[in-house]
Formats: sequence, structure tokens, C-alpha cells
Amino acid sequence: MVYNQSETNHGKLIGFLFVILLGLCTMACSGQELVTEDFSKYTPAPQTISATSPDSNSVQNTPVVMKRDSNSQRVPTQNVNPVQAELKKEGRTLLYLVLGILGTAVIIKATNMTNAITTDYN
Amino acid sequence: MQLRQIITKGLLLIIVGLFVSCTSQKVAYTPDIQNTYGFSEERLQSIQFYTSEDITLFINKSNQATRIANGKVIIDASNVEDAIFIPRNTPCVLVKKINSNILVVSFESGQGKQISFVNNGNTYSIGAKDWVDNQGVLKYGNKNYFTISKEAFLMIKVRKLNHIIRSQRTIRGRRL
Repeated sequence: MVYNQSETNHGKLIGFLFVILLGLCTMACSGQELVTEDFSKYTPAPQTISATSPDSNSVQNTPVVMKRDSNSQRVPTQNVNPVQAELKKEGRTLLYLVLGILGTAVIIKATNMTNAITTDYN
Repeated sequence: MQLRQIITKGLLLIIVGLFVSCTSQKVAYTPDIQNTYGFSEERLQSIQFYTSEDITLFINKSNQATRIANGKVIIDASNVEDAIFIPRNTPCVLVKKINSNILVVSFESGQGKQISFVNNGNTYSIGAKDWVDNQGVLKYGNKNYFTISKEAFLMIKVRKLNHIIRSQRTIRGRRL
């Protein structure tokens, strides 16, 4: 079989373009996004002391755990891990809710028993 | 019978409350957390971040796009050429960790559609090339935008963070 030189070149070009296209598709599918901007020069807003400054927000979102000191006074704990503190708070809420459900169930049961006793008595 | 109905309704309310409370709380992703756990870029890319505040990006038509009313900066829509609004709690993902102080996140896919959050000492708050009169200039999608959302910072769900911390491999060493 005899190939024309120009046909071979066309084949190479098509192959080359196909490889590039495949690479681009792989990059797009992998979700990799290129960062073209030089973000190393970016800075946060200058700090201003106000009621809505980032400081106050971060304080609102960082739970403070209180503990009793030697004089039985409640003082904020230093260096508390906010993640652990938040998980403890969630756990406590969950416990109260479970206790609430159990309490309600007990009340329902007691009401039923009272009704039954009253009916029997009547 | 009426008492029983009230109790049943109360029980239902408690169950609903239980489900609501099960949704994880969000906390600020702080430099302290980053320094404590030393998350790599790969790890951070598996974390779902959220924005704490609304973020508004806009291009001025004139110099009077913003005005101050009652101590708050307000954007005048009639003087704005283009605006992008990202509501609070919108999820975003990390695209690149430039260094431990600068995190580049993306709220949508697209070339250059990324926003940087920079360590301000307490949190990772929105970063800009320049800040003039409380307005930041930043590049988004190959266009320069202004922002007044300087208070927006990155947040993370506590439960997810705890899961990632626990899944980190800790080597305890070898003893004789």
C-alpha cells in the first residue's frame, strides 16, 4: 500500500489535535481549574473596630466553654478547640431532646393508665 | 382525649426539633484550625466551605455606585454596570491553597471565577488587590470588580471537619 506524503502529514496533524483535545477533556472532567490570577498579592480588608467587624463575627461563631475556677466562679476556658466545643454542645442538645421524648412518652403512658384506672373505677 | 392530642403534637414537635438539631452547625474556618491540623491542599479540597455573609461584586458605571446611608454602604443599582450576588451560606470548594494564609475558592465553574480568602488574624476573610474607602478591587472571571463585602469569611460544618480530623492518619511510633 502506498501513502501520499501529504496524507501522512494530515494524519499526524489530526492525531496531534486529537491528543490535545483528549488532554483538555480530561482536565475539564477532572474538575481541575486553572488559577490565572496572582492571588499572593491579595490582602484582607483593613481592620476597623465596629459592631459588625469580622472580629465580632468570629466571636459569635466560636463557642466559649465556661468552667469553674478554684473560687467556684464561672470563667471562660482558654485555648478551647471550637470544633470540639461545638460537638459537645450538639451532643448536649441531642441528649436533652432524647430525654424530652422519653419524658413525653412516660407522660402519655401515665395518662393512659390514669384513664384506664378511672374507667375501671367507674 | 384533648390532653393526649396535645402531648402527641408536642412529641411530633420534639421529633422535628431532633431532626433540625442533627443538621451540623457551621463555624468559622480559622487560621488556628489550619495551624492545629495542618491540612494539605488535597485535604482542604475535600472540605465543603461556605460563605458567612452575602458577597456582592459589581462594576461601576460611574463613581457614584455606592453611597453611605445610616452608616452602611449601599450599592446604587442604577449606577452599576454588572453585578454578581453570592448569598450567605453558599457552598464553595477550594481550588488552590496559595500558602497557609491565602485560600482560593470557587463558587461556580469557569475560567478565573475564583475568590481568594485571606488570613486576617481571626478568620479567612475576602481578599482584594486593593482596598479604597472600604471597597475592595478583585478580579473575577477576567474582569475587575468592586466589593463591599469585606466581612465575609469562610465557614465549615463542624461534623465534616471532625470527620476529616479523625480520618487523618496519626503515627504513634514504635517501641522496643
